[in-house]
Amino acid sequence: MKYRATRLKVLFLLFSITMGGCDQYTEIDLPNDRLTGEAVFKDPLTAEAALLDIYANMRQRGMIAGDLSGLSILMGSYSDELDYYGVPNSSVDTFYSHSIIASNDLVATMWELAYNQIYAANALVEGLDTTEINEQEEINRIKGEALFIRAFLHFYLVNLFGEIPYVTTTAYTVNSTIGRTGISEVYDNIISDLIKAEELLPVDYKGSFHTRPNKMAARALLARTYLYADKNTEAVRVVTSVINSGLYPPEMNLEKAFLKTSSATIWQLHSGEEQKKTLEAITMIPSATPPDILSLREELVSSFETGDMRKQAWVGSISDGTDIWYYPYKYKNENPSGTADEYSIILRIEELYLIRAEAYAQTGNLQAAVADLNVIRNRAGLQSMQLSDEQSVLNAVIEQWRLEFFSEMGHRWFDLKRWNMAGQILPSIKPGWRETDMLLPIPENEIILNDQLQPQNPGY
Amino acid sequence: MQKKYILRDRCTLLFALLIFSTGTCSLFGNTKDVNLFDLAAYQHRIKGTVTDSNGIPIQGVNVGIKGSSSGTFSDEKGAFYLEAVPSDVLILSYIGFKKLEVAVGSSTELSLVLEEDVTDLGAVTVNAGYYTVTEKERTGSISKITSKSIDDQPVASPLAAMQGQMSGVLITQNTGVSGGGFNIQVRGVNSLRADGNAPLYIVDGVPFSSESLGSTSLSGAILGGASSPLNSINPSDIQSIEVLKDADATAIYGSRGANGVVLITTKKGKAGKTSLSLNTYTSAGTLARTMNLMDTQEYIAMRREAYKNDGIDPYPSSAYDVNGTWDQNRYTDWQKELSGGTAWTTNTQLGISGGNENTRFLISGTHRKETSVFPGDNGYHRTSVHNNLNHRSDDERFSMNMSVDYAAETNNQMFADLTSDAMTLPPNAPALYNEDGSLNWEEGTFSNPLADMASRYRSKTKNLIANGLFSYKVIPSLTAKISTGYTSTRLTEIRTLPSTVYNSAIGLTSANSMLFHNSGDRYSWIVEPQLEWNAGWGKNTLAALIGATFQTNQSETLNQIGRGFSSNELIESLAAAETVNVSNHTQSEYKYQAIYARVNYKWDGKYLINLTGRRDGSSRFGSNRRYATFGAVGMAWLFAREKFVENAVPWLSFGKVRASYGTTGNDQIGDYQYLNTYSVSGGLYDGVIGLQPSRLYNPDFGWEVNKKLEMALELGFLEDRISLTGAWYQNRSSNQLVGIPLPATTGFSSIQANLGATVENVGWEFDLRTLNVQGEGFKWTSSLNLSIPKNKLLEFENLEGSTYANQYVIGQPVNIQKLYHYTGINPDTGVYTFEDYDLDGQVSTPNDRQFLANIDPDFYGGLSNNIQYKNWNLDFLFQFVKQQGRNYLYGLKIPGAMLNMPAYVLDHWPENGTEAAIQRYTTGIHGDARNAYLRHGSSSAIISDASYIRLKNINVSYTIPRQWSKLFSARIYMQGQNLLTLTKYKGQDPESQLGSYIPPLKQYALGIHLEF
Repeated sequence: MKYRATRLKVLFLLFSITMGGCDQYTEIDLPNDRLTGEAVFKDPLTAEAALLDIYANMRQRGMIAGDLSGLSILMGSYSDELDYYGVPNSSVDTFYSHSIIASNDLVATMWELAYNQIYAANALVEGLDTTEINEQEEINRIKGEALFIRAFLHFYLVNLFGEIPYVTTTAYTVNSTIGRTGISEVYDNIISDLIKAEELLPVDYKGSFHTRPNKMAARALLARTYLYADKNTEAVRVVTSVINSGLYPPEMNLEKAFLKTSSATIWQLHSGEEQKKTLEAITMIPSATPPDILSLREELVSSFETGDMRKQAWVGSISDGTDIWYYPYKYKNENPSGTADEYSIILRIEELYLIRAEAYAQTGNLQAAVADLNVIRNRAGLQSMQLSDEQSVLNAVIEQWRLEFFSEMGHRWFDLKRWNMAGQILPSIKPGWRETDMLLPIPENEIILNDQLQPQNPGY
Repeated sequence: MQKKYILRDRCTLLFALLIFSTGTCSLFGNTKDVNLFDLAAYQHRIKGTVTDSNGIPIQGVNVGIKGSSSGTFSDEKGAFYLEAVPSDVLILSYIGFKKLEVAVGSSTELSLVLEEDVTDLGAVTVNAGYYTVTEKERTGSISKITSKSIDDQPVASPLAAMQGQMSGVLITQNTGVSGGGFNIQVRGVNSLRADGNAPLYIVDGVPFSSESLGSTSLSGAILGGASSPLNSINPSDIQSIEVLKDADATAIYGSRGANGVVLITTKKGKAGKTSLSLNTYTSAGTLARTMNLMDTQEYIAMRREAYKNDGIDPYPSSAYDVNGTWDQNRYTDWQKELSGGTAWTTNTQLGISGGNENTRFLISGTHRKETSVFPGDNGYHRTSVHNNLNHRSDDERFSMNMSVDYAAETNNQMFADLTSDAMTLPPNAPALYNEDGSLNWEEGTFSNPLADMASRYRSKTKNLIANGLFSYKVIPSLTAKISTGYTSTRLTEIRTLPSTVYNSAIGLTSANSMLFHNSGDRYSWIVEPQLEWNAGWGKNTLAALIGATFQTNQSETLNQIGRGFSSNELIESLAAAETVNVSNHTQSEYKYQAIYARVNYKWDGKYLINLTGRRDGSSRFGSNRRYATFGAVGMAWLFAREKFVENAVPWLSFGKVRASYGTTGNDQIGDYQYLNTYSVSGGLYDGVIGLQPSRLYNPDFGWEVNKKLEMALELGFLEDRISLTGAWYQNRSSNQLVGIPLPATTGFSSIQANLGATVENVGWEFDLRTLNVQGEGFKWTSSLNLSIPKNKLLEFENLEGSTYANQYVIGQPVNIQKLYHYTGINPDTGVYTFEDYDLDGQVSTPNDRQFLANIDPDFYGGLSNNIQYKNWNLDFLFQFVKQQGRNYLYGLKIPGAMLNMPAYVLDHWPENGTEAAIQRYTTGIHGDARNAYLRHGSSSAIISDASYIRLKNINVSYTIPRQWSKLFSARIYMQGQNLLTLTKYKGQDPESQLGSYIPPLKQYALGIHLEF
């Protein structure tokens, strides 16, 4: 009997020890593929990895990407650059035929990914505000890049959708009911972010082949924003500071203009793995006749003046014996097993010459405008132009924008929009054209989920 | 020897007479320790033989003496020897037979016949996880199948064996390809998260994760999903499977019990002579159903009509089938060619079992090999070993049970299922092979489906489940137990994409070949100390237990992609790849602890109350939401044991009402969801792998709560020859843990949080078991189960404003399909028309998708029969489901395109008027027809009756009479699976309803079971 009591006592003791001694049992360690938000901002290397991921995402899908979800294809088809041959009634096709509806998935993708990347940029800005890292230079650079990214993405959003929410925090309680900001205010925000970024960023590039925005990239985007915001004097000033830095001599060999080593490139997106081809090349170079995705419109191809070397260097053609189709051939690495020496170029010095030419022309400084224009013409192997009246200078600038930047990031569409030319040019080639097509619809789901985004853009 | 006993008996008899004559007979009423004289002198040795009603000896029958601990087991000849006194009563018990009590009397040789028990519920115990209950006295809802019905089926997975056999348990097979998975629902869909509806699996007390380590991107095209870990459990090693359904049974599993609990108990050794058992069968499997497709003539006519309708003349250069490139008189039955093969299965199990009263063991190994119906060298192998050892000390205070299961599987399949090729290849497409045996590309005009054969899916899985249960009786009423378990699963799978899958004329080389490699590793351990206390006084019986759980799971997966190989021969080696990318490498840890308890009180065997509860802590939740308590109460009244009932309705042999109510939870949300984390994205930029914010984080989300209510009536008539159970249940899942949709301006599309949504499952379940005939050597029993479930979304906060608005409707099942309403063919244009609900002149998403189609089953169940006649045994199981489902029109390619079609498509406009099934043929360029076709594929037209009755299983066996062979017993059997399907379903298979994977196969098996 005594033994029995002892046995019971020992047992209950053991039992209560096992039960009680494990308060911390369900505390777990993080696995090594994850870090807490705090930890990321304790080390410049992890903060850097969080930053680089944004570029990797931009490259992959959405507005900036070179595939069917990106502006190069979508807005190229939307304007007068590309003919689309893919699946009829597909989302891409509705861009080509101007029959976009508010539930279009590619419109939603552009919007969603842009704000996802903006969130990541804001998380960096916020994280670095309270960081314990004491390498100030690194903090400044990463923060500068994050601000640059935020401005860069909002720039495209405002040009596609008009009034948009300008998101500067990660707080979902704020962002889930955020309203739309007026267009000029959006530009003010972009300019303010870019000025901050410009101050924070160094001139020297980090990493390889200009794949990270530097001070000059911030200035280049700032110049573009000033131009779009009709602040021509500021645009001229900023462009001049970049050109005069002498860092970006125009690439005179057009065949090499889109190589990753091009000296004219201010900012380009790294392709990731070294053997990886740009999405632009993979998507735009057809593999069959007729092309299964797209071709350049004949009218664009025939617009090149005789002797324009850009046609030779940047326009490809494919034929089935009877018919011939043209396609953008700026990026040439397409063979999966061949060499890869191209990255996706976002900003290059030629744009700054045209920005300044346009800004000069708008402010009446025609001579200076023509001088910048001729830099681009000469590089293409064309004679310098002698023009004296404002309209013909402007027309010539417009034409050079078109021929220099075709199939690049929707430049043509933004130009048509900026110059109010879309309504003149597109109706004849796009039967589905409506005046309200100047803006894309706010994605349907977004309006459902956030009342503050009302009203929908007209026409949708 | 015999003589000596007889002599002693005679002496005893004399002695007894003497005592009687002196009138001191009262001594006999006393207990044995009255030492007036040595009773041992009365003890004599008896020999008994036990047989069943067919005269077949039964081995391993427990023979005991009433009121004593001594006993023995019958040997392989059914014989046993025992010392007993004439007043002793022998108790013979053996699972599956009625308990027999016989007075010893003076006989020394007993010939005993055990009656097979099919109806006596009292003898049947049910595993409820932490405790066992008798079938008659259980307060919860538990369905059970035993090895008998599992062994009848030549299937590879335990889930396949459960199909159609349990009320409230709906199981559908994803594919007929070996190694594929199943979809299981215990009483319907509870969680709005598609991956939050799996039940908890417990194998011999050890939780077994049914979450696949595999990657859908590698195996999805052939298996229709990720590989299923449950395939590692060999059905023939299973003794029983119990499914716990109501609150009373599941609340003790707390946060993991919401979707039911599947308890798998493996086989144990039998005492007696060491016996060797060999069981082997071979089966041949073919497609259970094929589609009736167009023949060449019909097909060519459709194509020509399509071109005519589209106004295209002459035929384009790519229309090889009609423009003269291909022979228009050629005909190939592609279903026969591509998926018409025979899948051979051989399954061999060898086992040794034996031991004595104290220690028993079982060692068994099984090898299974399956080939496939597709051409080429495809195969699935599983080698599994099952070991069990149990021991009990002489004083019966200490006992232990250990089992170890190990299984190694290899699967080698084509990367993709050929079913959709078989359905859609033009019937006049060219031959697969050239005369020299090489693949025929027909000068680039034919994309040969067999090229995919070079693209392989291979997997290797190794799975270990080990457990040990140790128990010690501290005092007779108190037992201390500790249960420990360990599981380990390793998976390696690869998918190859060699350059040879493309026409060699394109010029790709092995430098373009790719290898996708995934490896996964998971282990878990569990320790559960437990105390059990039993007491009884008067008419009261009390049983209580309290226990704790500590569990840890760790898993790791690594996905890699290799590109560019010097030779396709080396494609399975990552080391041979020019570049290797890690696309994903994740690790996760899950820790879980709990305290659970049960108190069961019984009065007079009539009134029962069962209280269960559990307090859980899980690492899947933030620190302030980490713990929660669950509990349930179950009650039963065995009213047929009341005197007044016995008198009033004597034919009622059993009667019980029971009810239960309680809460369980669901923590299937993945790990680390509550933390603000950055994860490795796999995106490479400038030599750095990116880190991305994992999600918007919410540290405050908690468990999903599932409240279960059940009421049931159980009746037995005519000495339980008929037994009937009817149960009604209502489960309500609230606090739904889902991604609450947010506008993208927040950076993400949702945040994980508890949503004010409630899903209700209400239903009726009936189980009827009857002993139809029992006569001389003949017996026929039937069992029917029927489930009538109804699922409903009761509430959903702000449904209208959420992204779920187009998916759910309040008051409707969560699986509701919102579709266009198909209104027939326009007589003028010949295209499909649809109802324009919002009258805006356009038929568009989402406003015009207002037609609601319910694809949940209306009812389902199974009917099984067992007929025994002498040495013959026949079992058959019909499974039935009444439901609406997606027919052949779902996923149909556009009628008129260069793809073959089901013969149903011949019924088209204008030939068959506006009532035809199909609109005008088009090659795809006719805009209106194309748009109408796209809408038609998500319209009410795709939903039609998909009810079926299937002869799921039939098993005929013959046991060779014992007298033929003294050395061994033998049973020869024939089994059939999915032999017959009665259905009006328009499509390939009403169960899987998908056209792109082969449905469950029809199998014929022949086997033999020998025991030495």
